[in-house]
Amino acid sequence: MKYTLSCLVDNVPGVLAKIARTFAQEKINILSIAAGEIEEEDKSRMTIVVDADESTVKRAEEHLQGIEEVIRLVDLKEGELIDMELLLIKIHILPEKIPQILQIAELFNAEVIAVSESAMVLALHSEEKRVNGLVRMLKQYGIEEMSRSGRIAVSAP
Amino acid sequence: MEGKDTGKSDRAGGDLFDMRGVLAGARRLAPARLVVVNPYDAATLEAVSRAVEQGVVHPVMVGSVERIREAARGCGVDAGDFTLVGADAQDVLERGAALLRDGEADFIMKGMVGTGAFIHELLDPRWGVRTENILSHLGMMEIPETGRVFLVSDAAINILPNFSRKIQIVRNAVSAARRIGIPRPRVAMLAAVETVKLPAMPATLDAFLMKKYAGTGVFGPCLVDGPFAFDNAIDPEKAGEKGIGGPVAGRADVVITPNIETGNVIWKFYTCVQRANPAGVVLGGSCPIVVPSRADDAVTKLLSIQFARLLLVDDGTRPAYY
Repeated sequence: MKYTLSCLVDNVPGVLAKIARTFAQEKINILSIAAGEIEEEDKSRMTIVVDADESTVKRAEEHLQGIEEVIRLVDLKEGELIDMELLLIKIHILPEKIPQILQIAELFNAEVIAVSESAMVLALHSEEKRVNGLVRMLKQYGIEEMSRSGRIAVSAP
Repeated sequence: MEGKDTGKSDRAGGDLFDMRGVLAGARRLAPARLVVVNPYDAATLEAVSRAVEQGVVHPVMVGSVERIREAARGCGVDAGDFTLVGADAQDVLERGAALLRDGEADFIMKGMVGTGAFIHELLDPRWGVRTENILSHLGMMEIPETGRVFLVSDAAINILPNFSRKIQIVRNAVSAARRIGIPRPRVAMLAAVETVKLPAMPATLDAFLMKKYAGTGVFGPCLVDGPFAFDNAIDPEKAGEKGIGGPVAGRADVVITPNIETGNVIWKFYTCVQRANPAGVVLGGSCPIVVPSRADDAVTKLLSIQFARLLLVDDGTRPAYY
């Protein structure tokens, strides 16, 4: 089962390695991890998505809370979080397929943010399902390169 | 700069000169049957009357017969030149559209009717006007100094067309350009600059991609290029000064605007500042549709009727839209 953990930490060197080590010790695979500064100086929020059973995740959470730099850890349940992911995807341009690619982009509200003679880069920020859908739809047109931010999330207001 | 050549295509370069000469070609064709809905204003009545004199149309005027006669008297037009079909305000649009459906008219024009209601009624599947194409407006203008003719689309129908709609706008315009004597139209996709600027100028992206798409031959014989600022699309000297090359730069026969505002401004600049008379027709239906602005004068309306007539092709008994 997927879990989304929001981890508020001190923004100091080594904290990411400590967190990653905790998950490794519990043999939990991290599906995505996104970290960035927040509204408070010297603090960061990490949004970590893991796939594991409940008891394993609970153990990991206990270990995480024991890390000195971890200020707060929240297990964001589906329905209680606002989440989003950013996708950048570079597609090879086949001239005869341009209308279809643009139609798909429009359907998903993706935006072409760069273009060259041979390729275009689309950006989409949306929930994971829609990002997956766009990637699936674009596969047939030749994905040259792709990068996903992983889920970022906050608790629902 | 190439010289002016009344109503003729410069075959070497493909340029077309003298808009009125081009449109006068409609006088050499057999008259087509034009249905006009609510022709109560002087400009419409005068335009249709002159089109009758020129042998361009046999008009069928639909509306209040009494009101049409009175309006014609008021502007010195002989209503005896018209076939009058009575219809009250509630069913005048249906009556006009039914004439098209029943083969009693070849194309249609609006008089004192709201454009939205007029187009909406015509797109009702009952009338057979709707096709698999989208409707788009095509204007014809000429450069005053040289008389070189160019076409503009879309100043009236498509508000903010996406790429798919632009494909159809280009297709409609290219077909019409060929019909009026430009065998291999040069099409400029308009923007404000000649390079792709993202995300600030999405029109530049569409223009760039349209050029690539057109390269597959999907539009038949034509040259599509872009993005272009307007001057670099139609003025060879400006394009030359800026070092913008290619067969379309400065010599576009067709300019495709990124949105209705751009098309509308070009149209209004031509009529209000240049004090010139463009011609306009709506394409993409089973017949040309003449949808003049209320502000258009009789000359513009007449030129629009001629333009629409040129886009009909005689196939024996009834012209068919090309």
